[in-house]
This record gives sequence, C-alpha cells and structure tokens, in this order.
Amino acid sequence: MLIITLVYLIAVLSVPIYAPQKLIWLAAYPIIASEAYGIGYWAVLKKSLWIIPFLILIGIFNPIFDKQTAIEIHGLKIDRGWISFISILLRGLLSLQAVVLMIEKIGFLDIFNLLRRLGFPSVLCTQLLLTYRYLAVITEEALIMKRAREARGYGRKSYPFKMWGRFIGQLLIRSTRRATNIHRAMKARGFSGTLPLGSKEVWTADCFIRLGIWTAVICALRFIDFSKIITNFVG
Amino acid sequence: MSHHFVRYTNVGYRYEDGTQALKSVSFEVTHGERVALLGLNGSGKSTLLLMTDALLLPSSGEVNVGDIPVGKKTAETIRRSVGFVFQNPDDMLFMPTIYDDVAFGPRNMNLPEEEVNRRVNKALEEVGLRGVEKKASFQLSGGQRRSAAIACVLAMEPDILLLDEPSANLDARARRGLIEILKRFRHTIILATHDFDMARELCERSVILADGVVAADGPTRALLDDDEIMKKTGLK
Repeated sequence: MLIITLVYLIAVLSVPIYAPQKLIWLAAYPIIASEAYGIGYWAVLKKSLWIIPFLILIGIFNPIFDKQTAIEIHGLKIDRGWISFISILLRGLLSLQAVVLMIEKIGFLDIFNLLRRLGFPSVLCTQLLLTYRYLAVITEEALIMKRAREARGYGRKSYPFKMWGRFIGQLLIRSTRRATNIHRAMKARGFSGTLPLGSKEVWTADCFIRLGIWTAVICALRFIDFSKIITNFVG
Repeated sequence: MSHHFVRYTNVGYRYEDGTQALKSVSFEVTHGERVALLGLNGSGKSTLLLMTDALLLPSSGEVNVGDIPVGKKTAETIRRSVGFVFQNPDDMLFMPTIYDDVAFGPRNMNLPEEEVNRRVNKALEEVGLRGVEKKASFQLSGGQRRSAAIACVLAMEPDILLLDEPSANLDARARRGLIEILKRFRHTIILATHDFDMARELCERSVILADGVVAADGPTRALLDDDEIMKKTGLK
C-alpha cells in the first residue's frame, strides 16, 4: 500500500503545474481505491478537507503575481496564476487523500514500520509516531475541557478572547501532564527513545498482483488522455 | 541474585515544587508477598511505586530491587523485572491496536517476533481479552482497558507487579475480574489502593503511609480492623 501511494504521489506531482486538467482523471484513484477497500470515499474526503486553507495560503500569491494570460474561453481571459493556483489545490488535496486512504487502510503503526524498513531514520519515524499519538492526547483533553465548560455554560455559545488564552494554557498544562504519564508508562515497558519494529510483512503473490494492478491503473489515469477517447467515442 | 524482593531504606522524595511526598520510609517486601499500600491521597503511595520502577529516583535513602539499587544506570535492568500498572489505563494504551500495545514491552526487550506473539496471546488469554487484538483501546470498556493494561505488563513476565489504584473507576464485575486475575499472579505484588475490601481479599500484608512515613505495617485484616490505627492515619 505504501508503494502504491508513493506511485500515486509521483504521478500527481509529475503533472505539469499549468496542466491541472490532467489531474482530474487522477482524482479517480482515491474514489476507486477507498470504495474497493471498503472505507468509503466521503470518509477519506472529509478527513482531507482541513488542508484546503493551508493550500490556499500556499497558492494565493500566484494569481496576484502571475498575470500572464494562459487561455481565453469565449473572451474570458484566465491568467497562468489562477491555473497554477488550482493546480496547487488539486495536487495537495489529491495527495492528502491518498495518504489518508493509506493510513485508514493499513494503520499508522504499519506505515511507521514500513518507513523504518525503507531506511528512514528511526528518530524521525519515532517523532512522527509520537506526534500522531500526542495529537490524540491534546484532542482528548480538549474534548474533556469542552464538555466540562458546556456542562456549566448554560447554553452560552461564545467566550471572550481572554478566556480562550486561559483555555489553551490549561489545555497545554493538562496535555503535558498526560504526556508525562504516557512517557512514564512507555519507559516502564522498556522504551529508550526508539520504538520497536513490529512483525515483518511477508510478500505474497497477492501483494505483487495488487501492486501491479494499482500501478497500472494509476499509470493509465496519468498517461492516457481519456477526454480525447471519450470525445472520439461520442463524436 | 533474586529480583523478587524490594527493600526501601529511609526513602525520601521531594517534588520540584517543594512538596515533600515522602520523608523516611523503610520496609521490605519479600518474594511472593502481596502487599497493599494504604494511605490518604497525597500520602506518597504512587511516588513510592514510581520509585520502585526507577521512574522517579529517591531524593534520599535507597530503594533496592533484589540486589540492585534503583538508579539511573540500573533503570533498564530493574524495569525488566518490575511491571507497573498505572492508575489510568489510557496512559498505557498508546499504540493503534491492543496487540501492539501488549507487544510494546516484549518488543522493547528485543525478543524474537514468535516469542512476542506467544507472550501477547498468553497475556491476553490470562486477562480474558482474546479476540480484541485488532481493536483500538477506545473501542474497549473501562474494565477491558484495565485488563489490557495489565496484559501489557504480564506480557513482560515480571517478577514484581506494581499496581496504582487498580480498581479505580471499575464496576463490580470488572473489579471482581481484576481480583481473579491478580490472584493468579504468583510473584510479588505491591498494590497502592483505597479499596480496603480488595486489599483485604488480595493482600496478606498492608503498609499504611501517613505524613511521609510508615504509620503502620502488619497483617491487612488486623490493621483494617484496628480502629485506633485507622483513625490515627485518617483512613476512618
């Protein structure tokens, strides 16, 4: 699954920045794969949408600085900046969808194990896994505090800015305390800075077949001009 | 060399904020004993357990696990023979699946994967959690999470088991299940608890901590039935 995702990411990133139309067909992969793995595309899409504001932040300067006209449709001029902006949005969203799909399918620990086996530095992998774990700790603590506040909020919806500062401060203190306990529990079971590798995945014929099929599908979505085929077929 | 006894000699501990959790605690737990640590909140029960597993180091005095004094250099050796079940099982369940959580300790011990698998299955069997290996901890009930936390420690096959408030937040059935699991453990148990009935049923001996020292040490039933001691230590 990791290799399939890497193939897909390469396919997405290899699309020229001024040709976002070629990304449209690649959008089929997360849809097909999520349905094939029984995860459901909406679940994957929902977990990927949070990246959009960051992508907008990255690409927003392109329409401002790149004013050169790229195409003209019925008198409407579209700048290269807007095209590259859309390209950045699509690339980011599709890439994240592929990663979310992979995490949903094989789990974060297996990804961590695979990265370690592929030679990624263990310090980076451990950091990655612990960040993932501690994000959950902060979220849990935030939810507990939110519930406690709601229970005594008597329907109040908004709070002054000053109170949010206190909320975040408390959240950090509580999360740090929980994180200390978790770290102690890890040390108590022999953790010394490097997370142990899990069982080695055995490659079966089924794995090779799956890899071959998905690679073929992704290559087809990347290199075959389906719009031309459809136009020719309809025409 | 036996790792099965624990000796506390004039142990003191002061937290960074200046709180003196323990002043001078001395007693010994011998091989195979089940000892309950009793005392009010803040009496130093958890601090003492943390020191027994080298998670905190004493500010004064000495803790010995077998022949080994607890210290920075001996921490890893000590943790191989001492298993610690934390008060909040969620602190112990941090991996994506219960299997990985239980396997965490044995894998850190660099055991071959077949042995890890054997130990995980055995530990889950012992706590009655076979079949939940692939589940995440949040999918389990409170009692099951506590059992999973105990399985995490049992998989390391410790000589000494430390438990911090193991019956906290458990319903009657889960509590009964926990007592049965602990009764099957044949090595040393040190149990910090407010649950006197559990102490009475599991531990032949109790140590009561008060004001940072050992206020009483003796047979559990005798101590719990002694009104004068119980009142003096604030437990009644």
